[in-house]
Amino acid sequence: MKTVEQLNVKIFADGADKASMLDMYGKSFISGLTTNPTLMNKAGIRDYKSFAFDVLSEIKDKPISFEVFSDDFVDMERQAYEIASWGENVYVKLPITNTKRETCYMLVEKLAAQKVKLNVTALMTINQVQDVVAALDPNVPSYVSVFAGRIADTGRDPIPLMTAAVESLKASPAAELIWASPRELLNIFQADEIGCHVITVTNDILKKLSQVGYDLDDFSLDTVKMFYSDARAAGFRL
Amino acid sequence: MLELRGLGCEKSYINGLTTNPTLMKKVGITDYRAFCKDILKSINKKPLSFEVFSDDFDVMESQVLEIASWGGNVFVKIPITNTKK
Repeated sequence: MKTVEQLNVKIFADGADKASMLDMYGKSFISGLTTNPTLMNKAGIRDYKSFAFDVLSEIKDKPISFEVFSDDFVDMERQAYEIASWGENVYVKLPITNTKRETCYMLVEKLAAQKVKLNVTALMTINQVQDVVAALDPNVPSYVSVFAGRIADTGRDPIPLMTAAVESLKASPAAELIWASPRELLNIFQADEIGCHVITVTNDILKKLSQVGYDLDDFSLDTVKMFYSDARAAGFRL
Repeated sequence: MLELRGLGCEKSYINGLTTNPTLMKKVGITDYRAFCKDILKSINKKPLSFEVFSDDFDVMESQVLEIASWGGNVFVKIPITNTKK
């Protein structure tokens, strides 16, 4: 079994809490960061730009993605240019469609032609992957984020789709596939196994990295001890 | 645990229920026996597992026999080892 250091897949930290973003940024096994409006809202952020500037004052040399949040492609374009101007390491996240199901491909082409580094996000089908790859500039660094965990939440195995997506991305050599919304630590190893370039992982899963390769007899004993001490702490009697 | 009861009783695709001391502590249960007997009033057809919580095999055995006596649908959870391996 591989150790974390032996993995080829790059691990990104997904979050919007500044302290934990900086904590993760400082770790050698974290190669980049991502966030999104939902995480930012949850973290109580109200001033988008000042939050981004604040984070970017400390994170300058690892890729970090900030998402546009307009529903109108003209306004999205304006937001994309502004976000892109905030730093060399900044990638602009663009949703695959707006809320009216209108696809972002024209805007991807336009922005890619201007060398804006994109992270096209919220993809769930191989057709979307192929359409995005066709719209990207093969020489501009970019990410394609497929929500493998959300696919898994529908009862479908995301691995065949992710494997096909790795293949599709070969047409755009500067683009990398992101396994987004992982649900368990195992997903990091699955992403690595299929040659996925990046996996973006939230803190709750990153915390489990210390368990990689842990002896299962010892883990079993830990579990037994947990039940025992919780029963004692609760004062259960029979 | 009201949710648990709802699940067990009402959802046709749920075929059984399990619990453990950690989950029971988390929802604030303090009287083990009273909780189990209460649940068993509403859930008496689908298999339901309750766990022993002693670290001593003799005491575990008496807990097993008591838990098993609570209902025909009750399974007794026994950990694979005690805390002394």
